[in-house]
Amino acid sequence: MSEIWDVVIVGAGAGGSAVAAYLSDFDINVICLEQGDFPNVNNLPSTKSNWETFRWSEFNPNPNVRKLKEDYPINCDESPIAVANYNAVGGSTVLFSGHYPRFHPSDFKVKSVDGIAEDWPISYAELEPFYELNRKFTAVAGLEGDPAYPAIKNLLPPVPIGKMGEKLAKGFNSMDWHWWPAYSAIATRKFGDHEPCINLGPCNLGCPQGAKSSADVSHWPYALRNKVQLQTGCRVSQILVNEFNQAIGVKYFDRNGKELEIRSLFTVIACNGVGTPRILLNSKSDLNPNGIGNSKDLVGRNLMLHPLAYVEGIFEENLDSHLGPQGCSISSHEFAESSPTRGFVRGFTMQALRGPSLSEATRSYQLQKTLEWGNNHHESVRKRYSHTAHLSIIVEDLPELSNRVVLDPILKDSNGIPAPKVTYTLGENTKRCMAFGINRAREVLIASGASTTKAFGPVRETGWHLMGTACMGDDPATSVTDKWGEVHDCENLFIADSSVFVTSSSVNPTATIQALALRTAARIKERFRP
Amino acid sequence: MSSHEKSAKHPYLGSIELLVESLIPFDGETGLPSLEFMDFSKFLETKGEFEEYLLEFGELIERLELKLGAKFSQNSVDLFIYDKDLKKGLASILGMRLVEYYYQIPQVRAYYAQNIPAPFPKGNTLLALDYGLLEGVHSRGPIYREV
Repeated sequence: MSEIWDVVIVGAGAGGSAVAAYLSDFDINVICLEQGDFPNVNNLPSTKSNWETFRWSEFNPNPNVRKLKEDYPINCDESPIAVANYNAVGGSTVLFSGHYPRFHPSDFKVKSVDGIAEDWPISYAELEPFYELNRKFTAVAGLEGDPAYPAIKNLLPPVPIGKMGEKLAKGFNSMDWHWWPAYSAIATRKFGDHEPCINLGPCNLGCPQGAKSSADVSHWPYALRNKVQLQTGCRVSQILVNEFNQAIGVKYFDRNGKELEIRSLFTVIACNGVGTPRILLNSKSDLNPNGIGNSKDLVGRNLMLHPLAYVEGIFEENLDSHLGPQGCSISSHEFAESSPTRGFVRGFTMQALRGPSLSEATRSYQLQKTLEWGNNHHESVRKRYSHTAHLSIIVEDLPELSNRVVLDPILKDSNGIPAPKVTYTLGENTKRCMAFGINRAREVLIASGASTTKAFGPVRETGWHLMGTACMGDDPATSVTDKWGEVHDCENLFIADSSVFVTSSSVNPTATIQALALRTAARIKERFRP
Repeated sequence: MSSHEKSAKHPYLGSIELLVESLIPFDGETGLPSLEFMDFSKFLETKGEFEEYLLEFGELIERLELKLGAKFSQNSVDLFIYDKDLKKGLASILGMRLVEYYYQIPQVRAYYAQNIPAPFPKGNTLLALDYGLLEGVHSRGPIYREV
């Protein structure tokens, strides 16, 4: 070891990429360590005739199914929801659907407005400039004038909502319920390094067009042009500290399994709500016998997963619902805010999902035990395939100390590093909210013209949103980091991912992860030049 | 000896073949093909699962024949296809493999207008937003809570 970097970032996903892109504008030496590689856009599933089959193998969202060399196992046996992620430059945004709403103002102040959980130490107004700044890198499509938010301007044109979206929109109108074209991290026009979207469909298998703002497309080209160093195939095992318990770098394995160290003035961990507590908990020393940042036994606790229910309506007419960006059409925030009459606090959003592809649809019928065999097989598939509209219910999960990430006592990754174990149950409030949401989704599907509906939830393979396991706050007794993401117990160590979320909102977290990461990066930059 | 040569000695091979082809039969109305056992078995072979599933099918048929008191034959297809225990048996990964294979057949995909050979680079044209649909939503005014 000879060189001391200004900043080492661990993880090149949504948060790490934003920190790298921001700091790259200044005279700051930044290196990022990422266990995966750059996605090969010329080899993504959507370029192949058997593209759907990749979802069940190397592009499966579950790392325990994928089992690629860059993946680490996650024990989810004690959770009804399995963790989903992707380990690569761009992280899970490589496989995300691109649904990109902001949190609502009340999401940051749930204790003040609803008397539950905790308020964030920051407000929507404080984060708003960073939501805006992030659009320098991320293509955000949508439509101005949404009554669910304070003004959001200068959006790219919305993703076409399609026949299915229009059918649902009319249903929402008949109920007098809110809906709006989805906020989408998709370039509907040429934007920076992005090509315009051509509605391929399976955004969640990677976008070979380069239209989706996965971080490998949105932030990394900028950061790399500005000379940030990115080292792939590097898996961090531990954060290093000095005798004053200040972070001084990390220990990691390179792709050949060689154990190395890197020294830095500032260390940023951005490995998501499971990967980050795993590294903190694995960083045990005499100074930190329970792991770094864990003097109050809070690291890994308060895991929130956005339990998701899926409601499908079957229509007489063909809605071409299998066409178009899978996760981006319209969404409804009608029930996002609390109401005293519903029997639960906080709420949920409804996100229209395009229909599954042919293979996925028939597999889904089989899973639901509704697939007919024999002479009725063809007719039953014909009547249903692409004749469906779909709503996902995304429930605002509340923080609970018992929902947590710990180190598995047995399971290890290919470098011998202890793997994470998730222990999680749905809270009563969440269950009531989900049941209410399913009923509302059925109502609006019927109002849209569906003849029947089918619903199930929570859906197991939907643990994409991993939040709360190193929450921020002003009080070191009840939080892991301060309002900038710096760990209370460990100076110069920052967290830049959804681990720091205090509460979860009922919308997808990526826009908020990246806005927070930019804010954290701005704080680090100030430390160089006060 | 290959898996297929070994399987030729399987006592239920004929019944398994008949069952598989009856699960998704030829559709005269659309011309959609039946699920061919030989092709399906090659698909399983590529996954290294052929013998495992042959065993699973064999046990399923043995149980059904015992329960229904009949040998599986063309004349008794309906008796077997609509039996709830068969449905239960197919609810496992076995049923998944059947549809995974069948709905990758180009002729089947072409019928359902799937992107062939791949979504990229052709893409799709979609119905754009009719902005008029949003008038009522917008006129309600803000629904978020001021903090």
